[in-house]
Amino acid sequence: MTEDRIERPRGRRESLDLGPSEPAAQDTPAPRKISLKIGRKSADSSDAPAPQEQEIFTASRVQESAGDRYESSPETGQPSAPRREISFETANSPGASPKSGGQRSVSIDLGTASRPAQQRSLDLEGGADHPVGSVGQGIDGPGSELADEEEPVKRPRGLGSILPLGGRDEDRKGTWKGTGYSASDDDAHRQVVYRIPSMMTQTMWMFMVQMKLFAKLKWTYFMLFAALLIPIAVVLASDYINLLLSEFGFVTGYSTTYIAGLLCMMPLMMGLFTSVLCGTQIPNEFKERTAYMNVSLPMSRISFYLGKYLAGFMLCLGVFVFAYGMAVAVSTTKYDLIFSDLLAESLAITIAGVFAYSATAFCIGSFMRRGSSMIPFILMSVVLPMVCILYYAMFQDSDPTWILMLPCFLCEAALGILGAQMSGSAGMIIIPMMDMTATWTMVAIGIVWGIAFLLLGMYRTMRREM
Amino acid sequence: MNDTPAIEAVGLTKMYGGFAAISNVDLTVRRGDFMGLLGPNGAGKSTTLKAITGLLNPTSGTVRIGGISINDHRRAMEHVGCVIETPEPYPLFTPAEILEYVGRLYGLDSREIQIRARDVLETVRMWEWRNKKIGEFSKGMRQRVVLAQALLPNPDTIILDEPTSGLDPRGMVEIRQTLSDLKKMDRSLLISTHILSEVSEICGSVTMIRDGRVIASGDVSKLIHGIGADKEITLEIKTLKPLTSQAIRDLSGCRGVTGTERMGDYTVKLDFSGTTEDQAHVCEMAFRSGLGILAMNEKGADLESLYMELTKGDEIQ
Ligand SMILES: Nc1ncnc2c1ncn2[C@@H]1O[C@H](COP(=O)(O)OP(=O)(O)O)[C@@H](O)[C@H]1O
Ligand SMILES: [Mg+2]
Repeated sequence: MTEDRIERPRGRRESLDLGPSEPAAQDTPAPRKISLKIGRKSADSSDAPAPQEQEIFTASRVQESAGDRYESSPETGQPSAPRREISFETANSPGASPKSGGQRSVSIDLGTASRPAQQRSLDLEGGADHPVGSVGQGIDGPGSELADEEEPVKRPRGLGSILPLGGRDEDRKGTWKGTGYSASDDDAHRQVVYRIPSMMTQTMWMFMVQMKLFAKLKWTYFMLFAALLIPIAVVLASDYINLLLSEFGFVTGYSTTYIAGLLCMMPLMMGLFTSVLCGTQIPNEFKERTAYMNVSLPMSRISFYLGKYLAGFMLCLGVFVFAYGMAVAVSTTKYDLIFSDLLAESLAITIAGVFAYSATAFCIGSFMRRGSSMIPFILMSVVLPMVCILYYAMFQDSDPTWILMLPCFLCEAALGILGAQMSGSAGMIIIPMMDMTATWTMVAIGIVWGIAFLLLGMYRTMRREM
Repeated sequence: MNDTPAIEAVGLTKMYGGFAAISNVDLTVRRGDFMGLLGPNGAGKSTTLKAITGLLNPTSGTVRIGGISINDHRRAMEHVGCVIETPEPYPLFTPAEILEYVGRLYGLDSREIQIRARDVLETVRMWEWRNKKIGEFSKGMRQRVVLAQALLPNPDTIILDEPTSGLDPRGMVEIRQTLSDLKKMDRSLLISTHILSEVSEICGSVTMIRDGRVIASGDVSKLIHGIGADKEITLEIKTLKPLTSQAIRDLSGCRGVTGTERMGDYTVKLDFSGTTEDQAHVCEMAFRSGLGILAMNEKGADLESLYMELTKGDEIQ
């Protein structure tokens, strides 16, 4: 029904005290805004702020006749919910467009009576920018009851039975009793005006969903544990670790080299983690058929794609920054001096590396229906470095240093700038040959590479036939 | 209420290589109408629905949902709920979490989501399971969750692809009941199925599709009577008082009645072949006989016969 969504009058709304507004002429019913608020007093004092998480709910309904009214009788408390107060506010909008044939918006405010400033309204169609004042009497005064003349029949499944989804069932149980609003009254739902959020918001929700998924994935905890292994190993087996690190030349007079030693597995881990987290996201969506649900929602596939990618990127980034933090923390037990400029540069390269690696993995994943998560790993950590090194070796005369700037060597560069001579990866043999003054060029190349792959994957996802 | 059709597809064609999965499918679902998309397996029902919901790009043809082209997917699907290609909810989530995020993507706030979630979960009988992990559910239960997800925003238009496949008999009946209830609420529904009774129970109109082509489309009762004009059907009349031979003679004298068969004292079967006007006349005669009519059934004039007839030949229409 399109009438549900007709424009709300944009005129100024005046707050009236509860009484019925004068009945409008039948031909041109004046749009009215009635907002009813149910405030739940907090248990001890009436002016204590309500819990933050309690939401305000606003429903808007189209009303055929403007003649019905809400009555409020302050003396009548609700026997079933003595602590609960309801207040109504009737607003008349004189500057209404004639199109809007009499509207009534019912907003029900749960537990927020003492903080009217935080009122939110679902009423997006136009009236939302006008503050809906609340009628003074309802909030701390005795409870009032709503008698809706139009809805005398309460459905059995209605108001009293609404439970929230989560654990705080008791909190809201029965909150809606006596408001005339029925959860199973489908008309009431239908009249609630909703509008799909912006692409940005939808992307954010996709991001949150993916983050939630990650939170339930054991790989996430494995990754965080891998980063935690750095201090654990140093604490548990410090002699052995120190011996190992000095064997490979990581124990020098400088703390940065030691940090590089602790992080020497990073290139391999980056390939692995980005493949596992980002490379499997889209193939899994198709393997588990969850993609079919997502793409048929009113959401752009760009939101779907970017939201998922951002979550994977953030998680990988978090893990590697965490690992850096751990390594630096451990090194402070051994050294007094930390070269923060070198560390910052190294970290920047790592971030670019995470971006390039995860974008590559995500892009490759979006081309696969049920592919192996190892493909991006093998590509970025084995095949590409090998090819580049071979190329470098074969055409050494022409000095092709540019090939060592490809993103597959970003992690080696991050370690090399800290003074490492090697790393636990295929690309380690080129570390001495790297031009450590060109790290910012490498970062730029990595970012461009990442964006290119991201766009390629996005194009593929948008064109993808289900 | 305006006249924009809820769903309007014109000339939909989808080629896979040289093979046309659907060719030139026209389909219009008016507002408030329940349309069944009926066809055997592989007829192209899913392909049609996927093209309508923008899951695939048709080779040619246009789709408008609520007057908005599906190319603007976000706007067109704003008030649409759909279940296409047996989607699955995230197995690591609970139904409550699924509905939460779907509601958020539709732009509902958390309070509203909670109310609606309870509503739809009770509708699909999954309320007790709301906080259990979906990975542990059976296929039918997962399907109910997906259906709940589609109904969550109280969409104006609902598009379902074989929603009852994989459900137990009870589940099928419940889902059909739920869908029938939607009719009172002025929704539009497009439902694909190969189960005839599903269409005849809930749909007012039907589009039959076979080998990617529309073979019949329109109002169910009109189609049945339109095509079965000179078709043999059987009218079974049950009476309150015992049948008299006079009454039977009267009935057999009506135009179109080709034979009578008395089944005991209270039931008579008439072989009938004629126009709908003739059929109405027979019923009137039976009524006027004064025997008291308990029931009158027609056999052979239902969707099944129509379907069998249409899928018998190569092409009709
Ligand atoms: N991705 C595809 N590639 C090639 N052929 C396809 C594809 N999807 C569907 N088809 C073909 O299109 C026809 C219609 O399929 P579909 O719409 O799924 O039928 P149904 O009516 O059973 O849902 C089938 O013959 C099927 O083989
Ligand atoms: Mg199918």
